[in-house]
Amino acid sequence: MENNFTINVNEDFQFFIEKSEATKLDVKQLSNFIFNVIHNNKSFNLQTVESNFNAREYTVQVNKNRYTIKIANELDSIIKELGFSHGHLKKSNEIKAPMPGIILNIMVKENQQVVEGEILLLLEAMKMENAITAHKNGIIKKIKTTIASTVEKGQLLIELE
Amino acid sequence: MKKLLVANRGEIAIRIMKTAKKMGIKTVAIYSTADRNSLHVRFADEVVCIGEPPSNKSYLLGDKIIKEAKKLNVDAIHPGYGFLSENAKFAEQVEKSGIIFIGPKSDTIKIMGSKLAAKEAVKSYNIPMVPGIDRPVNNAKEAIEIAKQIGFPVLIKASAGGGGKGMRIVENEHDIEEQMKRAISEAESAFGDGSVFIEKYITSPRHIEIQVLADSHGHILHFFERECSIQRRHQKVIEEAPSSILTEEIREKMGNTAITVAKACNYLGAGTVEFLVDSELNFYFLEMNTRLQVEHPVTELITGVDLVELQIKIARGEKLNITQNDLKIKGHALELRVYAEDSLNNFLPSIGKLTTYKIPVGEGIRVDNGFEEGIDIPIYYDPLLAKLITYGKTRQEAIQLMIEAIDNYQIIGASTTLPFGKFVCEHHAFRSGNFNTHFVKDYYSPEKLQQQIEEEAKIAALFALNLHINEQSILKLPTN
Amino acid sequence: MEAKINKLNTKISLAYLGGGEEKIKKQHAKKKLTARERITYLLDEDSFEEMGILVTHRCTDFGMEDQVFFGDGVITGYGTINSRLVYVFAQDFTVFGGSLSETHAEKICKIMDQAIKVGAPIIGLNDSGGARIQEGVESLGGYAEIFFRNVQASGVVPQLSAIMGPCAGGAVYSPAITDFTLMVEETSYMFVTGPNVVKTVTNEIVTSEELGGASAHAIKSGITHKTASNDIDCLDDLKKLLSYLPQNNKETTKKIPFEIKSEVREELEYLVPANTSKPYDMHQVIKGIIDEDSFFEIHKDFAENIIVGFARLAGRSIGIVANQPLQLAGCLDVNSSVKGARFTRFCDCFNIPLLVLVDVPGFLPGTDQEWNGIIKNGAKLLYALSEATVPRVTVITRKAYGGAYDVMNSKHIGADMNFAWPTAEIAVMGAKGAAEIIFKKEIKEAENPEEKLNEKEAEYAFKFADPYRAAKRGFIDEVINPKNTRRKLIKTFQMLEGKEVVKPNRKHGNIPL
Repeated sequence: MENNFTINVNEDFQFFIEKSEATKLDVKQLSNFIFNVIHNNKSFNLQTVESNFNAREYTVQVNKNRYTIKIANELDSIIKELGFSHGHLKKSNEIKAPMPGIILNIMVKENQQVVEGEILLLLEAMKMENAITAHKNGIIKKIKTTIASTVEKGQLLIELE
Repeated sequence: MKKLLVANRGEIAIRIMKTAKKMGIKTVAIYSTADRNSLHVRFADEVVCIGEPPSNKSYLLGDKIIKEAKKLNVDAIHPGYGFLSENAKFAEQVEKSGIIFIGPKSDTIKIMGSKLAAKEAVKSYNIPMVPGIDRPVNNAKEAIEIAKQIGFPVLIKASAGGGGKGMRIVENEHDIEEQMKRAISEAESAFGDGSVFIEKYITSPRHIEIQVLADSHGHILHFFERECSIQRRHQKVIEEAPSSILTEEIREKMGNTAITVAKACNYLGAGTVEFLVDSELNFYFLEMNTRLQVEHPVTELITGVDLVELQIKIARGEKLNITQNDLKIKGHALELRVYAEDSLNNFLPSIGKLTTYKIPVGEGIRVDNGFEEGIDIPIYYDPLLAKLITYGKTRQEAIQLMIEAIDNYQIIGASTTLPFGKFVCEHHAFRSGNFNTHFVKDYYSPEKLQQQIEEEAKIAALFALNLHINEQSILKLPTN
Repeated sequence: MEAKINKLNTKISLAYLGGGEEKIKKQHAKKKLTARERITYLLDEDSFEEMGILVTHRCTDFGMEDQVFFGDGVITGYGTINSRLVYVFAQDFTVFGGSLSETHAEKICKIMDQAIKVGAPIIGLNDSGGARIQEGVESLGGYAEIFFRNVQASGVVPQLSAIMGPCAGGAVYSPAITDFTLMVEETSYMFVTGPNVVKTVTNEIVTSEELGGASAHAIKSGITHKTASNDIDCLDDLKKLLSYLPQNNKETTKKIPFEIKSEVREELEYLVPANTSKPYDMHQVIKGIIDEDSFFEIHKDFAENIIVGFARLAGRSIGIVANQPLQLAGCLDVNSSVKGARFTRFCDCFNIPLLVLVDVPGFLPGTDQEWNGIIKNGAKLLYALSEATVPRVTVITRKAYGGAYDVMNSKHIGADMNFAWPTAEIAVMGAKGAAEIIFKKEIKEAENPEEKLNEKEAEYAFKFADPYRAAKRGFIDEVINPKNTRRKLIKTFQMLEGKEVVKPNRKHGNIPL
């Protein structure tokens, strides 16, 4: 059985945890979803919000804050080392909306050459203008949005080449 | 005055209607289709849908709002802050339509609405001002020349602006062209007027403002200061009253200056005179806001008055029956603006559905709130969810209460400025009172906030792994 | 006791090592996961139960008696995917290059026999150099035993093959008989005879990738149903594909819980262009009908003039066969007919209802088509649809001309419900062609023949180019507003859920092959 796990929390933190450290954790179950944990002489109240054993994904609340935890095992590390990812599109060619908003202006045209840092479009959210810039040099392959359209966070705006 | 229409949304609409209800005045709310589910719509006695989600198709449609107000026999319109609150044309049209506009006369708004006109108006009163040019600029070349004369760093500001929109600090010549363009474009889309002006940028300044109130019988009072130096993106996040650095003497000086400014423009109603205060406690007149400020509650808590109530009374032509000597500072109040933005990601708007939303309650805690559980935060407006205000006998007490209240404020579905607020309240610079408008730049980084939550994250990780290992041991069967 | 347990554990850890650390590294260097890693990724966590972990080969020639590995190059057993029972074999390239020995074949046959008895899908992860040459005929016999079981299992339990490495020679016939073959780009290839033999016999110089790589089989031969960019992509596809299929031919796929609302899809109303010669993307129609993001396309890059694939409709798994006006105007040809027919028969085997979307101008003309047997190949689609007893529903979006109208799940060949959009044109042929034939003499003798032709074309179009003549005869059950298509279909398939057809007793039909 495996003994080391790489654990990502909220995509912000990464911990390497040994199996024994987790099994030794002082956990007391208070009711179906409520737990109390003592760690380093501190007491924490925890609540399980969602758990998906097969996906190795858990959402728990510590005190009042919510954390999404993804447990990676050794196979996940091998997959990562081999550079496998889902789908064929390389992510680095995509300009996505960093937040929901309205497209104010598009500064570039398809087939146009752009350099890193060049402003591609303006996105307005909450009355603030945000310039979306190219994160690398390239050619605009496809513009997937139009002026005045409302976009969701993470929506594909421009494909680079 | 029997019926009041609030030409606004969110927490401020509710805040104003609360006072109106207390005074026995019926309330009318307006809303855009995006706000059909918002709290202020349910709070009012009568409601009217004013248009499509974008504010220029709803909350900014002055003519339509007046027309609807007429239909519903409204006696007075309160504009709140933002939207039409400092729109002289709107104020004028309201006056003309025979409805009372709760705010100063349109001429005053016009003067103070243009920063250049405002400077002109107070020129002869010997009011201290920041060095700069007194005419609008709208081309980059000219801007470069002027900036060179004044000396970098300079500040570009929308002449019609407020709330940090169209405002840019430029440290050197290289950046000025791009920053001018952005500032002009932002000013144009936000205020419909692209002209900006340029002034010397005071380094390490504090932003302190004085609340004034003028009735139609020639009485002008000041209600002391509010310290608004904790800002991000040139917008206030945390405000407090009183300021921890003002001496009694300077406080009185600033108060009297504010009264002079109000007099200079024939002021009526509630207004705020903003000052920059440098490290030697020199203060410079910045501008006058001719509306009720977002942060007005801290003043209310330390003076014990209801500013909206006084606004309404003044609008009804009543006399202020208090004198300057009656006003005393009692205790300390602190306000945190709870914005839906990600403190860990450059304060970018973070919106979504508020799946959990529970506000803290308790003695000394006031929440001016515009949201509730289950509501989607609309993308069209300022992301202010609520204002969390605490009051204590001392500054220390107010800060402690704020930390406690933040811990008890539960929001899931959007990131907010709550963690940032806690960071500030726990920071020694803030606690000692030794800080300025660069607080965020000087002391704050997402990593620092990260460190604070890392401990919890680690616990969450350990706990989840513990759960997972336990679950592994359970025999699992196919279910088909 | 402890010693005995230790002995067991030693054997198991040896088996887990497969061909050894060195070989595992090599496998990774080739951008391939090992057989055990593939199974771990494919199945639910900790659900795999291995059968025959301690099997070894019986060969004693060529020094083979000294090279003995537990498992003999294939890992077999059962486990669950989303809690559903499946049988799996994964060839282990680290052991004798995954080559197939008599015992290796026996292990595979054992789980196949059990899967047929139990009624659970069989998934094969192929990564094998071919027959174990040291064994000779025993190995060949092993292949045949597997082929035979593939045929016995066909139409009884779903059989899915993933080609995740080489698969050459006789070995190709096992995946070929299974229901779906998936391939990994760049690391897999399939052919009956490899580049060396090809060169000797025909003097053609060709690489393995060109000859039998994933894209060759995805685009040119249609042997592979779906290609993936890497191992995990491929395994994810297997899981996704399986989600649309039932456990066996006696069951139907479980519905996913779905909250039904108005189910009107406005975007469909203006999808078909007014000009009949303008193409549009049938994928948009499919998207407008099915549950969000539920389309799993089969044979995406092969015979693109027909679209086939699985989807969910209010949580129900359905198969879709649709003409694609974007390619060859959506006409039927040899490849598209075979593609549609094979998919239709699969759906019928496993009780997956069929939705047929029609915009077909006819069969592709030309010597190439006729000499390649468009007659018998077109007949396959006709046969497959006529024979299918699952619920069958048709929506004609635009053209349904001539014999192709009959073939595309018309009322006459047993469709249960036939809808048409107001843009539908159901006729023997297009208006222009029809006018040319009917009014041949009149047009020839006219002062301005072109003007006359246009006039007659308009006359014919006015009379026939709509769905109403067919609706009058009841060949179309209802002409519907496109935006209501999804609504109607959800209800129709629910209504047809209890459909049962008693077939005449026969050994099997004789589909024109």
